[in-house]
Amino acid sequence: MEKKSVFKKFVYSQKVAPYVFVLPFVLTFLIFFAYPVGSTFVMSFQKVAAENTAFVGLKNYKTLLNPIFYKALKNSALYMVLSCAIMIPVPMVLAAMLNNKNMRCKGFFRSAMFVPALTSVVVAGVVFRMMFGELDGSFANQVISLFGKDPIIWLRKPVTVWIVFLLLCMWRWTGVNMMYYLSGLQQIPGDLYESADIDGATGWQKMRYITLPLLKPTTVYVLTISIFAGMAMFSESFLLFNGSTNPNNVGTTVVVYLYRMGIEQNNYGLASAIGVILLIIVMIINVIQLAINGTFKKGE
Amino acid sequence: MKKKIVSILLCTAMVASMAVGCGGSGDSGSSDGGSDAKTEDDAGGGDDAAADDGSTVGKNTFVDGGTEMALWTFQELHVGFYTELADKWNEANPDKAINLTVTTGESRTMQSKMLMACQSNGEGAPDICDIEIGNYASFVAGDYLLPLNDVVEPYKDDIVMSRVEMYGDGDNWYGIDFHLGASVTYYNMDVMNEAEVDPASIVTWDDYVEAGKVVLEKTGKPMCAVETSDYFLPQLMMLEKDAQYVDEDGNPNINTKEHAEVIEYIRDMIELGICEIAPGGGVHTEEWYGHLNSGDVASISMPLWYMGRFTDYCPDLKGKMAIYEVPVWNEGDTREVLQGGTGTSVLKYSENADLAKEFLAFAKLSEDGNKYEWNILGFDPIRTSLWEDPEITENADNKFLSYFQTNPFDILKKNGTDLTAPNISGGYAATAAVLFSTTYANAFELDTETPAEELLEMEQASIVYDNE
Repeated sequence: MEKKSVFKKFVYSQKVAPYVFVLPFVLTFLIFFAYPVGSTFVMSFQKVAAENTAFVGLKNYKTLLNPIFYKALKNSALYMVLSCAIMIPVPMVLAAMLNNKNMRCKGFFRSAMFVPALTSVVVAGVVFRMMFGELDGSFANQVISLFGKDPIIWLRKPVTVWIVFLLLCMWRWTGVNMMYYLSGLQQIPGDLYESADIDGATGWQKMRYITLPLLKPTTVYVLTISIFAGMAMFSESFLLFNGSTNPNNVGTTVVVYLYRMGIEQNNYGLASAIGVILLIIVMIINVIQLAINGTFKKGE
Repeated sequence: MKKKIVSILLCTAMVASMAVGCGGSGDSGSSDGGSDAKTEDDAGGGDDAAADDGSTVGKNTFVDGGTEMALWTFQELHVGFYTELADKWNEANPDKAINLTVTTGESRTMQSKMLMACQSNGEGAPDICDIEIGNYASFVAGDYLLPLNDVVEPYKDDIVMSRVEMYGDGDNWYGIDFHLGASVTYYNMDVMNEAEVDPASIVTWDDYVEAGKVVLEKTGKPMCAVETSDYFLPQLMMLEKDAQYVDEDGNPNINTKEHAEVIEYIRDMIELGICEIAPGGGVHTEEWYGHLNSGDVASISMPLWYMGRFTDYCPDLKGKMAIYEVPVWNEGDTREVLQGGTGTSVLKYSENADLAKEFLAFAKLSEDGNKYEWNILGFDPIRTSLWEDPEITENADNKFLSYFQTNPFDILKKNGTDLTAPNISGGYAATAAVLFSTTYANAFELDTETPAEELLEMEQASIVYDNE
């Protein structure tokens, strides 16, 4: 009897219960996030080779001071900036359109735009690689030939590669971001617009002073995940170029470089150093971004 | 209801437009289902498809009391080879019977799985594994492989040893290949006849260029193609000059006089219009296969294992292609070098290492094994006795012999066994990664103005290799 009551006491204890409830999360966090991050950090100071693993100080980080890594950083940063620049306003406008009373076929457009997000990147990457093939018969070259243009070697020239990257990014993620904005828009109470109408506000004023400010939490969230996704871009490049090598590293992002060094060249120490640097950069950018947007301020 | 119909129509239109998009390059991929031998692609660069993800398993006929043995490969075609050879081994050695389980998966995944298994002290590692040439140095450097000297020794006089020696570190040999991988030049005889050029008359690269000018003038087609994401043509030309991508100690060494000469030579060919950039950037891409199959290029220099790509991807060229020796720099040089490959090795974690080694040597070096490799896989045999066997060399039913107008064995017989193989030690993988991504793309397509020596100096500086 004594035993059971101890057990009961434990289960019904108001002090213990919360910890029991958060335990699954804490455990997964520790095992699948904190531990790998910690061991990546340690490995970044090591030469990793089974039983011959040894500490090498800052050597891995020094090795990273090379032009290819700089280029990878530049590529990732550029991708992040461009994808954020496109993937916030465009979905916002589309969501506003879909939210409009006068819009027709709402359901269709909503699902049509969301469908790409459900396809696997692997399939999308392969299809895009084929669509932007360099022969006359490829889809993209047929389209531009309608406008009287000569076929383009899409995937071996810097500018066109970036066009393909951004198209792939837009095609895949517009729908997802649009959904975020749509839910944000639907949370804005209708009476705000009503009273604005009574005060004689124009459409633009309503957008500027009601919609945008009230969408801010959504924008901050979308921006945060877009920054991370942009910096960590890997599969798109890997699939478009069918591997981690691409002409003159035009599509080598930080994670592609990490893969090339770690998995392909078996240099896990160096790959860990790349991972640590990427984590630091993303953290810094996001902290700054969140601070500017006032997320850390109390009472908001 | 109306909405539904409209949406169905739009969806159909979308799918159809996609299908058209694929069709453009899709017609190049007229392969006969999954027979794409990825074996010879190097360092994960420029290989064919990400399609084959599902791992499959093959087993030989079960023998009671046989030793269990695991083998990993990344090529489905090799499963049949190993299981059949295991049956033959069991027939010949009933006292040492084995039950072989062959597992296959996508190349890159398989290679990294194997490395990781080795790095965790052999936890879950197989007994035997296929290793792509570009990754080989990683396994040797990690000291994960067992020397095969004792089992290769008995076959030593019957095989081309430079093919075995290349998978070693001077004293020990760790891997055995499927094939010899001798480089030859494949000519499209329709184009050559139209230009009235006899490939047999081409001996040196200068002859080749002259012939190329004639071909271009009379047919408007380029003589050859160079890759920007792979290295077969430049490597061939370098090996003929006895130059390697890594030095004797395995350190990356691409900034050499010979390499610069080769790059300038190919640039001159491109300038003349007799050499094109391979569509798709490499000769293992969908675009290239379509281009080749439509007869838009007069010749291509690749190893003999590339025969399988012709039979699989270029059905329209059947009976039109002829195999001749590769051009050389000076008359009298040996007109053959070795390129590409897959080394099969025994991991040191194997519990039945001796048996695994014996079986491996039997499978890859015995006459039975070599016959299978030639007949089914189209790999030029490493075993010289087969070159003289009329049953093999004159077999009119053979898929490969009947495809080409000339007989590849004539070249093998003529050039003997003293052949130059690439040095794949040390920093080869790190070097190849740079060659595939920047060096040749810059040299031939993006930055053709910078002098080759200057370019190579920069490229050399960007290789990350740690030999300590």
